[in-house]
Amino acid sequence: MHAFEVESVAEAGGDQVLDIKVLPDRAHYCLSHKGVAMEISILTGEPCRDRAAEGPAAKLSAKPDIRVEDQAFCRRYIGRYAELGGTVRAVPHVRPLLEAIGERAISPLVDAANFVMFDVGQPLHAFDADLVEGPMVVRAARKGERIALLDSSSGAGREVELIETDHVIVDDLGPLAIAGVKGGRRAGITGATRRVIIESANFDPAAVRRTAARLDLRSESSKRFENEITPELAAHGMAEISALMAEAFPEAAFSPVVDAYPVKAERTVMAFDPSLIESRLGAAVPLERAKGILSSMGIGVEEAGG
Amino acid sequence: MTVTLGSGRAADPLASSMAASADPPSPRLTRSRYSNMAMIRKTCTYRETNRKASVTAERAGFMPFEYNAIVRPMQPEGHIHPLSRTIREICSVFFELGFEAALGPELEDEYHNFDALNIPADHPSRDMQDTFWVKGEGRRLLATQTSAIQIRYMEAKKKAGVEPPFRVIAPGKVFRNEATDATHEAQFFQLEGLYVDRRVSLAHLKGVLERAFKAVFGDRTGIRFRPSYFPFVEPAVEVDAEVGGKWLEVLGAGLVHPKVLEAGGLDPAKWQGLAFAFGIDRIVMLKHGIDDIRLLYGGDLRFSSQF
Repeated sequence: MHAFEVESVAEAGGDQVLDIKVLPDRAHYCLSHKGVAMEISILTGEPCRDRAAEGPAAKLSAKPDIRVEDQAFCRRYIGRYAELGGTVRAVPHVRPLLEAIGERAISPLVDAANFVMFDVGQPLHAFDADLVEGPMVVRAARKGERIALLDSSSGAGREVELIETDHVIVDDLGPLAIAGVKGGRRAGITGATRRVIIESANFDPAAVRRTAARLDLRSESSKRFENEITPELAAHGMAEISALMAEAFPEAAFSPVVDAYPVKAERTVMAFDPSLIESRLGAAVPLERAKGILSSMGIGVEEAGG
Repeated sequence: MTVTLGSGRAADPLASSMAASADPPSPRLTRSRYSNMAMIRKTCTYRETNRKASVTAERAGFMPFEYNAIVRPMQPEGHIHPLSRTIREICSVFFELGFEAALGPELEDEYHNFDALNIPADHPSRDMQDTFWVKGEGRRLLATQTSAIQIRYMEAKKKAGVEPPFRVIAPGKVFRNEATDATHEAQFFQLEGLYVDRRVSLAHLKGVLERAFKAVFGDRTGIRFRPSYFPFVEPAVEVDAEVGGKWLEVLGAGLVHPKVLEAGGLDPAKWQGLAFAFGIDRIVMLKHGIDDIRLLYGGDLRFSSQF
């Protein structure tokens, strides 16, 4: 697939599963269905179906109390309450698609969060709001702080000890999650959960990688953060999960979002001389074609005079 | 080498030990007769054979010289390992193109193997190779790629006050912490190439590599580029070669990343470069139809004596 090696194409449920090797230079946008779809769209000329979700309207008034103390680490934190309500509906495509890519289905809420992560590339987390005491704070861990982890793959999660280079989301009682890496058991989602706090955030890549490596806790979530996804994606992630939850929990009610976004991601502007293309490739690329390729990737092109 | 007798001797050395022909002994002892004797002694050791042959020869009245002529057909010959041979072949192609050779250490340090090659610590590009880190002082490891030699070469040239253009190839053994199977070994050989000049493009890369491949695989080989990623080149390509009608991935290459040129003490605004790394084992396996890479490192003479 051009810049991507397709390791295998397998049949699954009447459709096909492509196993694509995504190298580090593209991992910031291609560790998701949407990213790969965009690439295929550019290569084949087939337009991408625009299906950006619109989040449901906020019906609850109270927003969660979330404070970001370490702004160098946490570039953006979006949170909202959701009251799940009584009924649960299985959203038809979620479970089969997760299973097609080799992911276990766990519960409607966790599945929805995983689905959105694989779909758009934004890792998400949910806390049981009734088990959170006081405001939530995003900060560096203190040496010796401990957290009992969620471990959905085995029965009992383990407890780990943290150091100052790790980062946590805490409440009054202590760590709730290792930011960007793994959630804790204390406020983990269970069958009894009625109210949740949804997190869609952005964390420093090197710090997440260091912590995940140190604790041997590499996850799909940490993998995406360590490849530096844009903080802009957090908003899309929150909209998508909210829309999907509204489908899975028809009686759900959502609060407005809290959006701690101290330094907005700037659009990078690069100036370069188009003759560079030919001198590097040793082959000519017509300027119109070059502009077309860049625009199809959502990169605006302006010709400066001279 | 033929050994001739001075005077025609009657006794035929073979007549007593086998019911040979009743022909009268010919005064001219041909090489085949010596070979026959050597074959009879086939199961003896070299020294024993030599002694026995010399005794027999003396009894027969032969001049006791040139015993080597008797035992030489039995002396085993050594064989150049296919990896060595292929490395030398590829090197000679590049020597013709004006490249010189350089070697680097197998025990490398983190700076040359990673940081100088634009692979910083805490960056996912480190995951592209599984590294054998060496315990003890300093951040030492077993070289995971021969690309480290690019840095060492440029540093050496800078130190000697020599400016580009550079053309260097560097064969070397590299180590990856991987499970071994028919196509993966923890140790294997790469052959690195670096060309630095004022203007270098992918077209130069294609020309150089095509020439090298034709020399190794024959004139009907073609190569093609696919976009890829390596931290030390930009743009990066995977190179496929057409071998036996099939396209196979054979090496990674690209234009040297400006950060690597800087680490080598060169100004990327002034100089450009191309770099490539052949995976020698894969080429040897393709060329000779070897199906298991571990055979190349087994040390089994039954293997290497086939080359």
